[in-house]
Amino acid sequence: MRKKTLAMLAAVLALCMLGGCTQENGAKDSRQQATQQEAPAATEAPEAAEAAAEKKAPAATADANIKQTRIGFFLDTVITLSAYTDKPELLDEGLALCGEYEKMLSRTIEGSDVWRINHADGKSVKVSPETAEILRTALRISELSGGAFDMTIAPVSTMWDFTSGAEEIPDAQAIADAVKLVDYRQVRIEGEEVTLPAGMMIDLGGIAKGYIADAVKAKLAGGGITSAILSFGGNIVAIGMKPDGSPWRVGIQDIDGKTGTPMMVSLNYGGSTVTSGIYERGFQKDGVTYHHILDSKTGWPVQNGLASVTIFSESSMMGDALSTAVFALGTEAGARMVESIDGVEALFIDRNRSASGTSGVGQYMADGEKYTVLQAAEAAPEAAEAGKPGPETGTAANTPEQAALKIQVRETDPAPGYVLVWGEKTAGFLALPEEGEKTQAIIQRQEDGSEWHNVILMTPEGFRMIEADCEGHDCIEEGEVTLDNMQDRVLWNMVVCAPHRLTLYLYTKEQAVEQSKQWLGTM
Amino acid sequence: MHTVTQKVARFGLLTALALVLGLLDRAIPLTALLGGAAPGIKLGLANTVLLYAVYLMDWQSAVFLMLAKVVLSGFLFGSLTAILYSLSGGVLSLLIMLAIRKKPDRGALAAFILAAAADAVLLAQNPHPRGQRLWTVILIAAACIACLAAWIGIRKGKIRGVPGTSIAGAMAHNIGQVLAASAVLRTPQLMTTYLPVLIGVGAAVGSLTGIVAERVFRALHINPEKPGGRKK
Repeated sequence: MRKKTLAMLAAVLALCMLGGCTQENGAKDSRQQATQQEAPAATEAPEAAEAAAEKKAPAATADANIKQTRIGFFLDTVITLSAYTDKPELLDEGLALCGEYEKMLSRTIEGSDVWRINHADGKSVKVSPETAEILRTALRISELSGGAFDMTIAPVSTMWDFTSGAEEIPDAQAIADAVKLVDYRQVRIEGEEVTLPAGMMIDLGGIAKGYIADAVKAKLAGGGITSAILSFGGNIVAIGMKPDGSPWRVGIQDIDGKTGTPMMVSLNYGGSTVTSGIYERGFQKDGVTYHHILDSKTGWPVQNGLASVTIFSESSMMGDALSTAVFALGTEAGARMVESIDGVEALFIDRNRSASGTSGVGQYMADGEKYTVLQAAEAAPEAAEAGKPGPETGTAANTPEQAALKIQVRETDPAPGYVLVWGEKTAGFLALPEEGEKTQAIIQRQEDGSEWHNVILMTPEGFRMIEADCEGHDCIEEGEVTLDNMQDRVLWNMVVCAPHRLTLYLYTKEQAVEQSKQWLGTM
Repeated sequence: MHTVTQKVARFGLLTALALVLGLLDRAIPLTALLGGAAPGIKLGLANTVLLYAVYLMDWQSAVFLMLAKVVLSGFLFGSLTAILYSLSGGVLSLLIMLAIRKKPDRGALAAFILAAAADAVLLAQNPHPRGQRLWTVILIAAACIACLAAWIGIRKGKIRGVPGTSIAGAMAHNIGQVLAASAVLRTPQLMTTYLPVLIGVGAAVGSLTGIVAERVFRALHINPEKPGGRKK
């Protein structure tokens, strides 16, 4: 009888732990499917727009090289490389490069790096340096987005069939089981050795096309091409301007999914334009749109009113991953995340066809397009009166307000130091005030809807925890960390709230800049 | 003569005792008393119940008591996260105690070496500590000496082995907790900063609870080295 009880206890415990570990991630597979489906849509859109543009200024291209185009099909995506050049063989080399990367990164091709990781049964696998680099970047973006982007979504995404037309909704219990296998934090990368627990699966669809697009662009530009537009499904990458000196025009597809009819036209000045949208792949059933951008926590399509997110950036790999993450985070939190990164802008189109964008999105909009600029989110609310700010006046650190945390820290920023917030599903910096005091709430939403609250008080010298609804309140007892005392505290520069799975570090500006560079380094 | 009823009653008593002592552990604000320097530390009085089980019952009973204590006090006073931490501490600690209960002197010696190493690590990180860290270094040095004293005492037969087992168990408990915490928090820095501190703290509170348990055994006229044997 005792043994029975024991066994039951053990089982309950094991379940609890499993549950705790597995619920977090999963929305990233969406991208893979996204990009694949986007392929036809987004590729044709720019072409159409481009054609329109050419009508306006046909004369200018006359003396330039002839437009050369090569079309290939890799990673389930139609890839179109168009360049104004007299060396078309470069385009063939570009396509060949796509083939090489496909053999490395495809989930379905037997013997690819990703295939071997997924079939290693928990053993470690040696991969190419390129794959390792992509995996590291994917991990970083997974962390920064709190798992909204998750490269281990494959167990769930493979259950959904958005392409065959079968329009079947997978069994809810099966999804619930599969989503437990989604957790980017289980991926171990050491050098070029990658280890994934048995049963879990990686799919780089949400980032690989961006990486390949950047690589092909580098190859073509290296070969002397100065004007080209490359389409990789939802990723459009340009080299330079059009031969007449005007920016490339990239169509953003209409919500109804009619391939080739752009709802809006955006501009590309030789960078990357990536769109993730619900129309790329999916089906409607009983009035619900089931689309390929999946919530990594539930395994079901993200339903937040958004139809598409377009990311304008220099790096297409970053744009690729961000478009999924930002879509999953939603307009408000997504916009804040984008605002915190230099040189990246986002355009949101909701299901009512209204468009809004981040503060600098205007430069990417063609004349006559209608959109609203989202108010730049300056997160930290000031303390009402130095004293007791309720957590409700603060800013949540987890979804959806997570992106109040800065990811990018620059040398020129005025803050004397930073608090690195390292929570269960969130990471980023809060700047110390230049003078006076500032309170900031860090709220972590839980799966069950409850919230973990911690409130810190920041001064130009450092910070301390002043409120917490955890048991014990040890984090408050840990006292103040300052730039001066952080070498001499037992916990050095840390304040730990173990029940809330939250670590706060005090960073000098130099340390913060260094960390920020590391995060953004390979994007 | 042990009947099932007796067993059930005994388990109920021990579990209740462990829970109450756990509550007492929580009520003593050790962290606050030490100026907040070391978050989450407790006296670990509840460990005396486990020591009793380790010495006077079979290993299955000890495991059962540990699980019951962790799960019940987790649900009553804590959270799922708290259960996770205390479970990893509890399992490691119990394993160590069961392993060394017959050779407590080795446990004390190992504890001494660990504590000394922890102090050395702390000193090496910052050769001229001040503030909280200075006090930590001093405290851990004191804990080192306590371990050494326990070892010598046990070897010479001056004291019985319970404190040796207790020290090693407390250390293992803290090591398990920090391992779990640094994994859950994704904060590996805890291993180099806080683990040494907790090893030292484990030595200190482990000797305390060990002495308490030893006293209790004496008061009950129990000889822990002869399990089942009750001196009349």
